[in-house]
Amino acid sequence: MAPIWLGAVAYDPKAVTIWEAIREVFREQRVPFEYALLSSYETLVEALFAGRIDVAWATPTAYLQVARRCGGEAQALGMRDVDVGMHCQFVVKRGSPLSSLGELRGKTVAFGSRDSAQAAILPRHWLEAQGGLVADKDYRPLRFDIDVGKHGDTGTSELNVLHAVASGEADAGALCDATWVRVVAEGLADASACRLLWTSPPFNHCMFVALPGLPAEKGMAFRDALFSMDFNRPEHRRAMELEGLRRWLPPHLDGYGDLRMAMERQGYFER
Amino acid sequence: MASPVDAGELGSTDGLYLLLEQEMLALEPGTRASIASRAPRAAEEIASFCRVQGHRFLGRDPDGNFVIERGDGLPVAGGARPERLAAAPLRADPRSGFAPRGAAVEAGGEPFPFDECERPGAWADEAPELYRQATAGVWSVERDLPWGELRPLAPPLERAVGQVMTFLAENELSALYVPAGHLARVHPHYTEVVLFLAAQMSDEARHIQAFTRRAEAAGGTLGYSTAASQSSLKSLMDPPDLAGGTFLLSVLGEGTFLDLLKFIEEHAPDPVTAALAQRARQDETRHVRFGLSLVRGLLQERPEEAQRLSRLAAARAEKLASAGGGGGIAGANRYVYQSLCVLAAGGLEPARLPQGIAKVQGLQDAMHRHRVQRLLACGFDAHDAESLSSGHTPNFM
Ligand SMILES: [Fe+2]
Ligand SMILES: [Fe+2]
Repeated sequence: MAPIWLGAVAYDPKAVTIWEAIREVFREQRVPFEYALLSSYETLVEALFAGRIDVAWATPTAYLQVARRCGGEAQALGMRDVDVGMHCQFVVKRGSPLSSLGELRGKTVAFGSRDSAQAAILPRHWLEAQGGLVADKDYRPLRFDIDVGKHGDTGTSELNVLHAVASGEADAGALCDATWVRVVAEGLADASACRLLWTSPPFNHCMFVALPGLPAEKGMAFRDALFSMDFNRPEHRRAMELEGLRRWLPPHLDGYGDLRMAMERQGYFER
Repeated sequence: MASPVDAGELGSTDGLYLLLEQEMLALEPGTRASIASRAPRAAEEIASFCRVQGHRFLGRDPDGNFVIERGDGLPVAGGARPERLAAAPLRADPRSGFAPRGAAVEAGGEPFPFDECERPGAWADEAPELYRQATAGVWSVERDLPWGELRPLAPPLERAVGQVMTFLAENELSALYVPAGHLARVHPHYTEVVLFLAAQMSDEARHIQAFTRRAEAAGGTLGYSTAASQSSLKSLMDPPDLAGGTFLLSVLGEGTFLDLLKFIEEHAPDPVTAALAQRARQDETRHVRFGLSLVRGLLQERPEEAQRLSRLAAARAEKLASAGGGGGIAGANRYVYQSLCVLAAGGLEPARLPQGIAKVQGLQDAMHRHRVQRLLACGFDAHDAESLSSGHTPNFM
């Protein structure tokens, strides 16, 4: 079998460590495997359609763009356990009298990078769908468009959101619950100055995706090698810890409806 | 399941997440905790916590408490399991850095430049006990040597003492620098070895202080340091690894020094020289035992390493021979040789000199015999032990 070419975005130097370790696992499973690191999810999607890679490690927005471009026939191959049932959240400053989304009318709301599903696209969607508030008309968005192209992977923009809320620059801010749990556990001062206002319905996050034409043999070999990774084996554990999961799961396709709708309404598919 | 943990009305940033994480750390994976919370957003906050930290959120029990099953790893800590690292590991991971042995080490650290990362060669079974002894019996140069009893000696004897002290001090300096060069390369999980090396260096520092002070304490001076002595000591720094360095320094060199220090103690012309030779020998006995233990452990695991160690010693002997060291004790530092004879003879009286010379000859024989015994105890065969000992530097160390 020719090598499976995986493409991923180099959102952090540790990406090299992670994919080298995963390549080791594939080697152990006798599955020829190569990886290519790209600098943005847009080029990742292009690389997939150009046939330069077989499988893309895609954010949910990139996954939905791939799915849209191939008429819903994209092959989803697997995902992280932590990415099933993710939530976005709005936080406010501790001591803020705000208690519901609707009360954000006339307020300033901080968002992460404009291409981040968890810190921009979905929060804006929920503000409209559940709070009845339209950006620029009913509230002032304060956007931190940092690391655009990385779809919010670096997490930097969410830290800016927290800082804006903590410093009073914004009345509320949007971020992902995974970030929230992490920074609260670490005692980040800007997080300690905030509290949770609202939690969204669940959605699912990153996905290994391939085009419909991926040979079945390759798809099967990819899944088998991926799912052979065991958190309790020291030689697997490091890569899994760095990638932030304990178990690879089969695709859960049910958690993308809200994001698809949000991307449609925000014109995301036309870009 | 134990009684519920009371989380009061805490929100995530009021301490709910801190409380949950601390509770989870105290649980075994697979066991459950129940959390009593009256906070308005507790359900969503606990659910997020569980997903992100890898625990199972099981909803509410009939009493309305939240039930969590502890997952098999917190997301950041892990990898090294304390129970596996209670003893010196077979292999140590350079990425654990300066984390003490037994700590749970977060994955993803940078590798440290430790290159002694395997137990054979980086570990000595006797290191923990020897370190205990080293720190239990620390003596002081100021306090524990009878400086007040020192009286002027006849000039030939004082000159001999000054020359012997010079030689001892230069050897002690090498015994300080050689382990210093190795220490920073040994993985910290071979903890007692690292601690022992530090204690050894502190011993050598004391010896250097004592020997140089004695040389000048009774009106004498330091003596002569030869180029041959220096090249012999310099070649102790050649082996790049702890086992090789320890073999040359501690097994062969310091081993030989045990006989030398005993000889100096027996023939010391004054109580300070006798006392410091005796104190130093006690310390050196530990250094030699450490070396024997480390080399014996290495050869038990990897018998083929005997050849490499033999070659190291042979290469050193060859290098010294070609540098013009010559053979026999006089080829090294004739003033040291002569000084030992003077000490053994009690001065330069013609009637006693032959006896002094004979005693130094007896010392050389004893050194060789004991070196062979130590090499056999390390695991070398009789032939190798004999030839290694015969080729040992005339500079003793
Ligand atoms: Fe010493
Ligand atoms: Fe020593």
